[in-house]
Amino acid sequence: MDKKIGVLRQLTQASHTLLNPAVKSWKEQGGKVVGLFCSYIPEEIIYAAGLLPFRMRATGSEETTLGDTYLSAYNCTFTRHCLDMAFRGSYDFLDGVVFFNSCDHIRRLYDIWKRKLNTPFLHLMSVPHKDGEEQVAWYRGELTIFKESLEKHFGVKISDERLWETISIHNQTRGLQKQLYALRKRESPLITGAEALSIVIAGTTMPKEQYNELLKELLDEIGKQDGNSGYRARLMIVGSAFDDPAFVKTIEDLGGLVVTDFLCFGTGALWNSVDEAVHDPIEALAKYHVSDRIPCARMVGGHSRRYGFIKDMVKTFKVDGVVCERMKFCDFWGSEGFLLRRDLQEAGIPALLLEREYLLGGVGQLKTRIQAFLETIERR
Amino acid sequence: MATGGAGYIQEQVDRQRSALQKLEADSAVDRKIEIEALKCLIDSSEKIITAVAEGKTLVWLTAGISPEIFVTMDIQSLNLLGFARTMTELRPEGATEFIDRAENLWLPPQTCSVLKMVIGGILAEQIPTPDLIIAGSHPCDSAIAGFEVIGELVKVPVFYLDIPSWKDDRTLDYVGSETKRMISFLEEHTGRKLDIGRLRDVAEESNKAEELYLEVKEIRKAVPCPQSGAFLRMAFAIRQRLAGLPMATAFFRELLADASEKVRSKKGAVPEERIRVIWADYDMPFGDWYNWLEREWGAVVPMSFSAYRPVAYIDTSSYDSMARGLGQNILHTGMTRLNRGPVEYYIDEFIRMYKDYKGDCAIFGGHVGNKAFWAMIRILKDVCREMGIPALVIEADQYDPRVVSTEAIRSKIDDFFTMMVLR
Repeated sequence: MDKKIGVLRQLTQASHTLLNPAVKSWKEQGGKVVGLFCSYIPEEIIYAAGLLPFRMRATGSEETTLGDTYLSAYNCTFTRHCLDMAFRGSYDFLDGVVFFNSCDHIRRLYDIWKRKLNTPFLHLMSVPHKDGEEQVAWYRGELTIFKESLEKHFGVKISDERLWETISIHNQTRGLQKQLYALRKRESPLITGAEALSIVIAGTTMPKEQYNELLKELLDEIGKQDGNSGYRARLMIVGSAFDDPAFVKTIEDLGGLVVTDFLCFGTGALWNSVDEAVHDPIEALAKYHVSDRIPCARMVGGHSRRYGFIKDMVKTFKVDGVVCERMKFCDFWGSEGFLLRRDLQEAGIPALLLEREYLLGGVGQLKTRIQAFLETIERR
Repeated sequence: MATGGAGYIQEQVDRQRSALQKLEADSAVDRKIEIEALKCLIDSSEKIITAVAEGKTLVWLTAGISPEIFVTMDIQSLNLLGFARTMTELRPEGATEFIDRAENLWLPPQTCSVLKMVIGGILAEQIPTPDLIIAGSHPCDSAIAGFEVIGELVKVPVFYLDIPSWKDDRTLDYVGSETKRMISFLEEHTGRKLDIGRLRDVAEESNKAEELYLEVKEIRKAVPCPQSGAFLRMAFAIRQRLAGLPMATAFFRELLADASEKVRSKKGAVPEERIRVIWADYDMPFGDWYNWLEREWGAVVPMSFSAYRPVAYIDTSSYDSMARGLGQNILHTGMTRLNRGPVEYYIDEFIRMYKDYKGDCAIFGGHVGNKAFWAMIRILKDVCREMGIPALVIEADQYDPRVVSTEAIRSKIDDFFTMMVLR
């Protein structure tokens, strides 16, 4: 039990802070860290350059006063908190930040960052919005330009051999995370939703070899423990960029155990692996993000694939109800929530649509809605 | 086969016909351009009504899709966003009914109201159902996401045109290829083969109109500006709906003749031009802005965001070059041109437009649904301050006058002119 708690604590700590011990240690050893704003940016290329990829979050932010000087009330609070933290120097440990056209908010955040902040390396990519072969070819081109700009700026050479190594390491991570998710299929899941989210977040902020070792230890230990029972309903959480385990804990404290998800800090990024049989590593990465993974709501024509995946997960993880969360002003997940709610209701699967801000607020209202949702499920 | 629900379009035509009658009866003022523009727009809408009545193939379009392809293939298209914009212009209260309808079904209030309006119109069965949809990854998140909903609601085949964030040669090649894939999609689903010779004829007709428009753009740099800003809006709408048709070319010929004559006779759009306003970003479809600015302030809009698009001739030497040219036209349209890439695209064009058209001030028509605009407005204000450009940002919902009323916006403009421009 102690060992499990120890490993969990290490992973949780990494998700609860920005500059966690692993990042600090990397920096102390002279390593460089590059932030990335979305799971569609392949960490593998950054890691192959000898840099530590760091998925951007605004963990620890308390306000948007400075961020609001350049972003407006019509922009999502994720970008506003990130900009606020950037203006306060919270990301000064970063040697670079990579953006792409994930949405209008993030794309414009690049413009502001470029003009108002002094991060040494900035890069913007254009990722296709659909999943055809031509789009894979386009993204391959963008990734090649990205790789070359990393090489030029950081004075490194990224070999194909090293890329295949990092792809393999990251695939190993995805495999271990899937094993962790499998433990949640049980009648008494061996891990809570809040813990699972923390563990996945931790994987986006520390060297993957170190993370993989911790995850293996956790998997070894966790199987020896009793699972979580006595919950009122098994829930799935679906939606936009979501990195707040406290939000999940609020749901779970009311008796709704989150057993799976479709999130970019979750199955959206870990369920499929990069195909190592493709002849070229950049092509393999482009193919994975554009056509192989379950598409994010920013990908057009992807609703039926997303919904199909969610329905499969509902069945596999014996989900009683789906919580669709959407951040205010996120058009993609706003529309997707509308469609998912319609389709899930038609399929007889209880669905709750929650609109939220980046920081957990209005806890009372959230609890009331979750409570009502759980009662609805229990009455079925 | 298009079916039912043409009521909304019929209402549009009825209102336009009534406006046309009033213009034709007004012998006191020269209304030739407005009359020609209205005739073009009525003709375009009536073709949709006829197509629905005859059960012809109907394709819904997202913003900026080149009409030349549909003219060539004799397929009836309906530009949903342009159509919604016209409806707001003609009857704003009708538009808001549909916005409410969409919101009541859990579409988030923050979704751009033009998309909510279209979705509400579909739910109310007031827009004829299509056989196909051409959507795209432009011009903004709301449109991309909104068309995903639209496609799911009507359940017909959808082609998504992927538009990258750049504007270099690689992007043009890619968008040209996407345009060809769109044509293949149309061929597959309509059973019609695109006739390359016919496309060449249509593209050449479109080029003629572009050449005329280029001259109009040049002439509008004159002081005083010879034509009303309202003509820019008409030119944009006609290009969007009718490019490639002789009717559009005839309109641009009239537009040029009128502008040339006025410059020759040193006649301005207003008797005394006091302020030249560069209208950056979109204008509100409601509120009769250009006439009000001219009448109340002697303020003329020589150029606007939507009308300033670079003129790009379609190279008709081969099918590939035509597809590339048609793709480039999509890239050049309004928000697709300025909203999808880095902010420099917007700033460079804004500065050039301001200088070329000898602006005295800029008004940014900020639409609350356009998140990309609101994420760059402070940068734009910085640029204006550095260049000494008096700038006003209007914060309004361009399709819903209940959010900020015409009167409130006019009052803001009054204060701006009084305190910042004419001091």
